[in-house]
Amino acid sequence: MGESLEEIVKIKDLGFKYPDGTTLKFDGRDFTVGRGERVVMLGPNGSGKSTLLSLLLGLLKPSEGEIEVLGVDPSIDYEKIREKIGALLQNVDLQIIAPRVWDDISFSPRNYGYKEEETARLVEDILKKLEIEHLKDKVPHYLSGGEKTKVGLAGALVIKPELLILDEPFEHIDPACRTELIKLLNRVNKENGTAIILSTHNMNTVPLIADTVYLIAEGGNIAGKGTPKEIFSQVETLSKCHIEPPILGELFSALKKQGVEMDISLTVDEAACTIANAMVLSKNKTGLG
Amino acid sequence: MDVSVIDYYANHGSSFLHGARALSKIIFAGLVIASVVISNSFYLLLAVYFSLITMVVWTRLPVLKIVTIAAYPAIFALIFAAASWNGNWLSAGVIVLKALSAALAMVILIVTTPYPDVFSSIDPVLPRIIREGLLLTYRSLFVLLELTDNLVKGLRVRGGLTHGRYIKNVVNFSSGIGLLLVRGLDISEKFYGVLNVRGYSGRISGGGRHEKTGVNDFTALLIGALIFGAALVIKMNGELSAYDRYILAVSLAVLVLSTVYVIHTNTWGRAWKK
Amino acid sequence: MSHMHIPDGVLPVWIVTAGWVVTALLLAFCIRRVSSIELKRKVPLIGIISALMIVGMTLEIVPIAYHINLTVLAGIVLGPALAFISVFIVDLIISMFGHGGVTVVGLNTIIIGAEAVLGYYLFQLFREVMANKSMFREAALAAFLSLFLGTSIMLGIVYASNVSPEKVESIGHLAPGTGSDSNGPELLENGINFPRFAKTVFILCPVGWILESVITGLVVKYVFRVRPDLILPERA
Repeated sequence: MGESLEEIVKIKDLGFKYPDGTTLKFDGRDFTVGRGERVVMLGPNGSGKSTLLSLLLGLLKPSEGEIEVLGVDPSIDYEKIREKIGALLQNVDLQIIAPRVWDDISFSPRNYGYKEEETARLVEDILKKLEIEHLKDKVPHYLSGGEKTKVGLAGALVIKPELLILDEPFEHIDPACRTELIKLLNRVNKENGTAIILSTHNMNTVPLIADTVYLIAEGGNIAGKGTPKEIFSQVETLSKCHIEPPILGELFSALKKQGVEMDISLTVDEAACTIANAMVLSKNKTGLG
Repeated sequence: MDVSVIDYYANHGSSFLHGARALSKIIFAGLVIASVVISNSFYLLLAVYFSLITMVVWTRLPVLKIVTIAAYPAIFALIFAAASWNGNWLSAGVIVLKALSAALAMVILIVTTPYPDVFSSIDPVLPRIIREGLLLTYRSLFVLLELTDNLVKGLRVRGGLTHGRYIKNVVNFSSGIGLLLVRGLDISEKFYGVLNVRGYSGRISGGGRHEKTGVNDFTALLIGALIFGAALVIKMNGELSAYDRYILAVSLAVLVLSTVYVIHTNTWGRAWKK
Repeated sequence: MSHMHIPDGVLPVWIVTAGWVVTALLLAFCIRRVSSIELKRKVPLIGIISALMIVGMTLEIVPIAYHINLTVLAGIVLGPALAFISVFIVDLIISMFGHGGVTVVGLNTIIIGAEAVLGYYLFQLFREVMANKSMFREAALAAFLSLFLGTSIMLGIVYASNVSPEKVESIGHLAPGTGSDSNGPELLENGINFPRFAKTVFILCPVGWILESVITGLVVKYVFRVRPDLILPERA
């Protein structure tokens, strides 16, 4: 999917050095994101996913390599593109800085100088879209984890960004809320053409939200790139990157070892269907024989 | 100083004072404090104190808790009272009652008004750095309180705070504060990042809620005006000072009747938003 | 009780007003001094340290009134100008809890702000002179002296309020014809007995100074061990 789209994020041989001397080098493969593409970064703790997202947001300055987001180097010209980017950083609690939900969601438009009526309209729209109108007068510390995530997301989406960057958005939320959030992100992607870059540990969500998956190994090395199906069939690469493959990936890999060649399925329904079909086929074959 | 409890009352109460605008309650508190400053009558000050307790009773919030919170300055006032001691209990009582009444007026304001609304109301008179600092202090406070809670629990569970080992406790407690400081500064770095990413240009708050003035505002202002009026009249006209005892009697009667009513209707301590 | 929060209504109006004027001037000076630092850099720092001071005040070490204030620590970490602004914010917020009067926020800011500012300079001085590795002694001594000086400033304010020609307005000095008959005339003769007041304060406060100094010293020692950059002067 990525190849045919206009690339809005490009990094090449990017490196970053922490003050304590730890170095991350995002090499191995080029990292690109197309307009409207949904990209998921998978990697173990400390592999540099959050660092890469911070580099894309201009919060850190690379020590080497090239980085381009929406046509500019974010470490130099982030101001020029910030109205086109929405972000939900790790630990959403620290992202909500205004005293009330309404104030927080309206934070960016107000600070970008939008007129009061326009700001109010945008906030009301996003509150409705995320079904959180009832929270607008609440103070942040009385919100649940899921509500905080939705409020943080509303603050990021209120200005209708071209690119949405999410760092571990599924942390600290329950499965029901996670499903709801995935649906919402997909809707935003479809309706507004918003490109999404998301980092996560949650394997089960990847097929539901990703067009392209990048595997980030220790030290920032980009060890794999492909569709969720392609990535999850590389069980050994996943293990090398210290990423536990999804249970269905392991199942199909084990079946392959047993000589049963089947296309990997990413959801339980899909897997049930594939296995049932294979069983019927094999029964028919046996019957015919 | 139970910050979380006060914040909870302010955000979850549903009394007539919760329904009044922040500005009306600030004016009410200002009038009460002005009365306290100009008045030196023990009886009148006691009447003011009873009237304020009556208001707390009307809010249906936990009265004892609120009165206790507001009693803190009494400790300092007692030192002033001891230093001014002339053998007259009433003059010592005046000092303590001034501190108690002023503090209770402020506490009534803050247990019925969420801080951001108070900040929004005083916004125009503050420099930008202080205005923004107040809002981020409020936000940081609850993030740090949660961290502190976890920290104290962690220290307790791991034997860091043990009964009888005071020196070790102080050392561990200090390390905890040190850790809180380090974590706090990390959080401030994160806030800086968020402000950057979200395009901060000096406006954290959206200017507060748009509240309408109503009967609740009128009630708060009327009570404030009555208290101030009584203090001013007695201050201006010495002959009327003999009436301060009657004012005290009336305020006490209202307090008793209000308490009986609230207990009778079984609404004591119960007025929370769903 | 390492320092006192003056309550409302115990000091004359003129000194309360003077407190606001002086604080406003000092705040204007501090704001000018830090004008070169980006607002989005200053605000989170002020917010978090002010919040930390308030959190400190919620943790009562010895019941009733002994709690930590962390004012000297704020001075050491933020530097004098930002620390003074932070102290004003803290005083304003805690006055809403009845913790120190709201009319005397100006005076309380002068007293507590002085602790933070003096704490910063004394710590830098002791750092140069003592060159101790752990920073405990420097910080503890700076805290002790700052708290002593802060309390002395408070006593100076009370003394000034008592010797003022307008003392008829102060507590315990009823103007003729005001107040109840029963508590009028005798009070006219007596104001705050300053030596008695100073003695009470100097009996009660040192316990708080020692506790706060030890804790400040230990906190600085801890922070210096894990994040030395946070208490280096260039940071401030």
